[in-house]
Amino acid sequence: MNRRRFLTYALSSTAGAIAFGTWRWLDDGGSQRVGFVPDDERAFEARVERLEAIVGDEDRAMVLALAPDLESAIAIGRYALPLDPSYQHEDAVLERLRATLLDPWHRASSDLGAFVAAYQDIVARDHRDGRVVVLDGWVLAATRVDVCALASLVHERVGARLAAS
Amino acid sequence: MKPFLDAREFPDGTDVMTDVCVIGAGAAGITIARDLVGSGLDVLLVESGGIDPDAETQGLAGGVSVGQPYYELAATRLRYFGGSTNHWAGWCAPLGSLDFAFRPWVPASGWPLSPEELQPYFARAQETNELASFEYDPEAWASGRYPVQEIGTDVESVIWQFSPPTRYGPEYREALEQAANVQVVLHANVVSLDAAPGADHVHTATLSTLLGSSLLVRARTFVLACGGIENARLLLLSDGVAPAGLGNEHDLVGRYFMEHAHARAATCVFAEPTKDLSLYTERASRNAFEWPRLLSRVENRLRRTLDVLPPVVPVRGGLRLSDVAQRREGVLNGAAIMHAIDPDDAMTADVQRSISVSAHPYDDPVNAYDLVLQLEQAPNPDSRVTLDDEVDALGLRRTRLGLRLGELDTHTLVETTRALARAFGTSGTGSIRFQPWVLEDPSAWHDTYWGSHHMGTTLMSDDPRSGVVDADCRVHGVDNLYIAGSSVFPTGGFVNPTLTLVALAHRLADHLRARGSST
Ligand SMILES: Cc1cc2nc3c(=O)[nH]c(=O)nc-3n(C[C@H](O)[C@H](O)[C@H](O)COP(=O)(O)OP(=O)(O)OC[C@H]3O[C@@H](n4cnc5c(N)ncnc54)[C@H](O)[C@@H]3O)c2cc1C
Repeated sequence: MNRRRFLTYALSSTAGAIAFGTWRWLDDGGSQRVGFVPDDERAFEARVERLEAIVGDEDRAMVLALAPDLESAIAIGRYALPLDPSYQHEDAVLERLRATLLDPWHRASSDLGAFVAAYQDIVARDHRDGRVVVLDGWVLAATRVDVCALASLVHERVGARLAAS
Repeated sequence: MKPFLDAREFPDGTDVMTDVCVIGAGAAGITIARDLVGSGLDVLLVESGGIDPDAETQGLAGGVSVGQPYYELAATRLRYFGGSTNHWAGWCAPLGSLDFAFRPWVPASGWPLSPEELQPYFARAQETNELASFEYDPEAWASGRYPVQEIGTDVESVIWQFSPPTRYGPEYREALEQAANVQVVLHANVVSLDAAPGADHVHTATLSTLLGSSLLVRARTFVLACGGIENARLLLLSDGVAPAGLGNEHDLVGRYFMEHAHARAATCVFAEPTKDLSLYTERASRNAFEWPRLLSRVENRLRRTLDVLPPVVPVRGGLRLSDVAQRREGVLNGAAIMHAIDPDDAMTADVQRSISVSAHPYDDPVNAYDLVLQLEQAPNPDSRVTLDDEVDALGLRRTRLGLRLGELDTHTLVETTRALARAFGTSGTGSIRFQPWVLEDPSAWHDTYWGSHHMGTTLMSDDPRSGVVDADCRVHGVDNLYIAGSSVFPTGGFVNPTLTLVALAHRLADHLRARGSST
């Protein structure tokens, strides 16, 4: 992978840049996002529990549960890891995700639906504000890449059990 | 019914007189000749080739290309009755209102015509090209079957209607054969327009055949309709009185040559992998029975003749940046056309699954699309047609084409792709992958092909210092010489040019009729 293809637009401003007072479902202007119905919420909760049993803590489990397909997230994360030192330490990536996603959510709500919506909201805002990472040409939201990087780093530590979940 | 004439059968030195001499029987020339049927004006339509193609005449279209790598020139236009419509693909859409406007970020932009002035002629051009009504609102075409995608406020859908495609030669031959006041002469190459001293009036056109004979045509009015490259070449070759060429007092003839780059700039995947994108990926047809093409044409003929139901034609959608977004990004116009691809890399599948909103992303097919950006080219005086030292079979200096793209073009390529990526991401629609060359070396225009759309070499302006023809398509400073075709476009938008040039041809025909009846 050519380092030049790894362009980060304002990646450094990811942490802490987003205020979470206004979490909402993104249902404006042609959004493709789907909301949680109660069954989804139960499924998400079950997924978090399964992941927590593997990775050891709730924060990591919550974040990883956001990836619709963990195997793909791990693969994308692998692209990101060598490209920037900030992706190489599980704790550092998790810290960033705490600041952008987990902590504001904890403060505002305990609703899992709101958690997923907040993630989608951040991803949209990342794109809008140019906080994107270009991986092999793919333009991805910086926060999504953080989720993928975390999946990869956790996978390196806990192995195949993760992808299978 | 009178047969077309063959210039090779005329005695050498024959002198012909007519009211209007239209030079070139392609989309523009045939449209004007048809519109002048029954006008009371004698019309001579002069065509270089015959009814069928022949290699020797086609060879006259050759030339050299310097600047941006381009196709062999003889492969980008056809030199026989019907002109390049003998191989055009039929994509039709009108220029938008922004295309006609002066845009401060696009030097030399702005037409001396408004879209409203052209509107009635677009409606006529629709019929000439066997299209449906002049309706280019994608919503009007979607009809529930082909949903229009909403991708945030910066991106809009556009549509093309498809001509069958109309082959002007076979389609309109009979009408011209039957017209009492129109005569078509084939195998006649105009080699120069001969002007009176002062170069303000053309008195004759000199015609040569490939057998070596010559003819002279005297006319009250001449219309040059030889295509976007050849129009400029003929003016430059007509240097008997004006050494720089006719209409070239301000060194503008041949300059501002524009094409439509088709850059394979990006790939995209969608968060909803099973989204219905048929409007954008295939020629969606509203014909009641999804006829094969030939039958659709028959159905449309019936509809036109009976005049009870409007004709139906296939359409296809694309995505463009809104006028507001273009202004904000300082880019030229452009549209992304989607082509389904079969991605062979794991990353594409991984990205689709990572952004998926589907319940079982792993089970979904990987649906990826190339985004080909069909881009407006910035008007650029250094992008130009000049004369080469090599000569053709008639002894005329060949075309030397220097197609040149500049910084605004590269900026448009990169920023349009970036803006599309942002819109896809912000709206949650999907994700876009830049082709590596667009990130690393965009000014090389690596994965780019061309539309064979030749525009801008005799551009239109109210001011003779900035254009070759005025808003009536009359050459500035020459009282009886007009130009038809996309060479008069001051800017070319991103849409394929034929619908607009045919609309302009209808307008010019009306002007000539009015002028003819007043003299
Ligand atoms: C492969 C291909 C696909 C295309 N697809 C599309 C499309 O999908 N949509 C679209 O809008 N456009 C398309 N185009 C472009 C379209 O064909 C042209 O815009 C259109 O034909 C131009 O019309 P015209 O009358 O100006 O020139 P032409 O159609 O090229 O006609 C010019 C005529 O002038 C004659 N001539 C030239 N020199 C002389 C001379 N010295 N003396 C006498 N006669 C002369 C030629 O023989 C020719 O018959 C395509 C072009 C190509 C090559």
